[in-house]
Amino acid sequence: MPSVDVVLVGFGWTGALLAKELTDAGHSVLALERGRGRQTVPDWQTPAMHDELKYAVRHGLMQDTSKETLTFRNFEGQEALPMRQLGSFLPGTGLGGAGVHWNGQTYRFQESDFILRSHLLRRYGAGIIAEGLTIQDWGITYAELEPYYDRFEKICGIGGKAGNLRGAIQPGGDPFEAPRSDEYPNPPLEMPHASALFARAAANVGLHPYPVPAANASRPYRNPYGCEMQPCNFCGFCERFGCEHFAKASPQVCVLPALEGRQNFELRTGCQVTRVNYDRTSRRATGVTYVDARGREIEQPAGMVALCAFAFHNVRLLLLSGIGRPYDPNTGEGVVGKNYTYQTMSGAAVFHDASVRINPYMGAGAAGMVAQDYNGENFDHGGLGFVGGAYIAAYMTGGRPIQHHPVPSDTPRWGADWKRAVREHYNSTVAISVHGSSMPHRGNHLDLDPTYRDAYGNPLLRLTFDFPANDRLMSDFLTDRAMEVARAMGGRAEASRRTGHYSVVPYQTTHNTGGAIMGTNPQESAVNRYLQCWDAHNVFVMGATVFPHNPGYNPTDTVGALALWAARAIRDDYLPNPRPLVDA
Amino acid sequence: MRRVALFAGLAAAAATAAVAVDVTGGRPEQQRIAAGRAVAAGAGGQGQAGACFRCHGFDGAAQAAAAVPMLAGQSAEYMHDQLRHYASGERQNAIMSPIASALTEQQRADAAAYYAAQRVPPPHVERPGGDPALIQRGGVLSAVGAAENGVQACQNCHGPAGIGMAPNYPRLAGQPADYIALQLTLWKRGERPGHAPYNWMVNIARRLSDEDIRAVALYFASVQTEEASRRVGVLP
Repeated sequence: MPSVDVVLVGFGWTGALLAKELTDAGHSVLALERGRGRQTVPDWQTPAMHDELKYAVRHGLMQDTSKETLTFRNFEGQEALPMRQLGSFLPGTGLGGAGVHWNGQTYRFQESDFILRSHLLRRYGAGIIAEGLTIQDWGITYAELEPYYDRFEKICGIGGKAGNLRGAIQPGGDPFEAPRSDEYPNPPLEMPHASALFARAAANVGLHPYPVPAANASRPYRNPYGCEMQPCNFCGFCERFGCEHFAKASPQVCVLPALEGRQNFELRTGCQVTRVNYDRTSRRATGVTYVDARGREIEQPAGMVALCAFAFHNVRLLLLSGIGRPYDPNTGEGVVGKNYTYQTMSGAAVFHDASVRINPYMGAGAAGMVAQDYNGENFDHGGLGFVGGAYIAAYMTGGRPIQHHPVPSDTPRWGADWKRAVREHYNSTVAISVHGSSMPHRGNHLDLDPTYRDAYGNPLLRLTFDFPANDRLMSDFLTDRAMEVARAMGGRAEASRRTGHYSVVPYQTTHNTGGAIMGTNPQESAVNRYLQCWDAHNVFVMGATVFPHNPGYNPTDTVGALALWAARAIRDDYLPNPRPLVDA
Repeated sequence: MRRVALFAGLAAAAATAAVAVDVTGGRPEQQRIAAGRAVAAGAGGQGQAGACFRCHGFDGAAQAAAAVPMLAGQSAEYMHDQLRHYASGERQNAIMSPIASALTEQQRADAAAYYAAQRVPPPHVERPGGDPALIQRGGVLSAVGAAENGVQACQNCHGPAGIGMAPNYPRLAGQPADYIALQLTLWKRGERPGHAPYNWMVNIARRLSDEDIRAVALYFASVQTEEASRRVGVLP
């Protein structure tokens, strides 16, 4: 195989952004995607796309666990077992990755998130970070990332209302947000009734609700790459589905039209990368090895490798390839597999009487109202016993018939009474989400499983995770705050709390983060501030894999911003003169 | 991809037909249909001069030659909305605007409910003639749109083969070709307003060529659907 300048492992959001930015500069880019090629037409057209059984229940767009999965345990000493069905999270596969089946909720992190350790110590003193929490600074500041947030939001055509424009607080937006250099490119979506009811109650109890920033286009839009988005029609099939309307931002809609057909870009689908070929002597990658759709093992030489797969897969490839020292939870040393974090989800439901008609079938993935009063460092944690927080939101993502059955907890689980309860509550129940942060804990990590292997004969990734006490306390406190809003809405309010051990069975969220984190030094992190491996300067790692902790926001805006930030460094600084961009 | 597992464990079984009826509001009351029939017969402010039946009949069938749309089986909410738009001047039509303004809000709702409840003409109606290749092209536009121009498939909103998606999206199947073509042309020319800021139909119509418009119009006019696809809408 002839060598290429850059090989990308995986072609979701980060792969697409890198491919566009690097081919712009004249570099040859080869993208290797394990799944199939797919596009708006014909793959996501109705009525086939609105098959809730196929896509939402049977996970039609997700990773095939019969070929590749991971093993799971709550803590060391347990025997991890393979997940033979997806549950708690749903890694996608195929061209566009999870950028195809996401909801489009597009938040920035807080200024404090990027300097969390320093910030917490400065604000509260040494005792604030509980024993065992491995909270770190990210090695980058919000101010440095801001232009790339702005760029990514314009690529995605985000609809929203700024709350802080260059330091000036704006009515109608999030008064807690960090300064933005510009307004969102599009106006917010129209508010579903449930979200409007939530917002009124939230304001009544003193919170500051505003419209969720949405990657579901609120009007016809042309992005900076010249790609066109069409307006959302609130069909209610975003999460777990592809968008038939060109309305939800995805690599297919927002990047590929500007990339396809370029002489210096090549995409190969059905190609499972099994190794980054790493020369330990020169501490450089020489390319990758992959297995193609016909089962042939192929070596692809490249000047530079970017890992653009889902968080789990990026970590597994580093471990399989021997790049970076594997993390050891007993000593706290090593970096690859360290600081795996998730999201601490809870919620509340408000069961109104039948006169409140919320029409849940009219929805969009990011249609909703949200309040950030108790997220991150927006409130004083003094005396609370935890750090972190959550947003409190009421989305209406779509009341689809198979999976949307809100009923009070004392309802029988089947039979005539259950059916009666579903009839009574389907059209009058408002769900409130508490989307909590996840702080890294010394014991929560990723490594290679000693027993189980995938279809290619490689060890599966082993996930060891349980919710740290810090996050349980946070979640309880935040669920209490959500219940205050729920009660203020009238109707019957019920909390759904985060209790017991973490389980991989019920769906929670696909915000799996960390494992190859960014940071200020090679002792504590796997990649530097430009997402460049400390141990292989021509290997870069993209995605939420690099988050040292997971704040109480959805990750995609930061994933996109970091990819564009890294792309600029690779294009302007690294490729003209390949070297470590930060001295170790 | 946020989705709290609030109701996990209760999400296994399928919705019942009874739920679907509740969600779409069920059939309107007979009393309301009777009131709507009276409006159709001339109980509105313009009396006999503004009686719906004079153009739409009591069965709401289309009058293809006059580009009068089929009202039978159309979404009640959609028709009610359109009557409001005619009354407010948001949608302009020399015949419909004065008639709709002369109706009370209740009469507009009743008339919409009445025609929504009428049976869709049985499928033995003669199919309109037309160039088979043009109908084929219209069918393709309906099913997959024209990605190269950013045109979404019609059926992504209007339902398979344009049978409508109550309450918001009107039925296109069986509408006269001239009626559909006229509406698309009005949107294209900016003479029928869109829904700001989304402007779905204005945005789409502007991307269609005149031949595209003829093609989709002919296609939907040629679709024959069974009674079973009738939607009664969700009016209380």
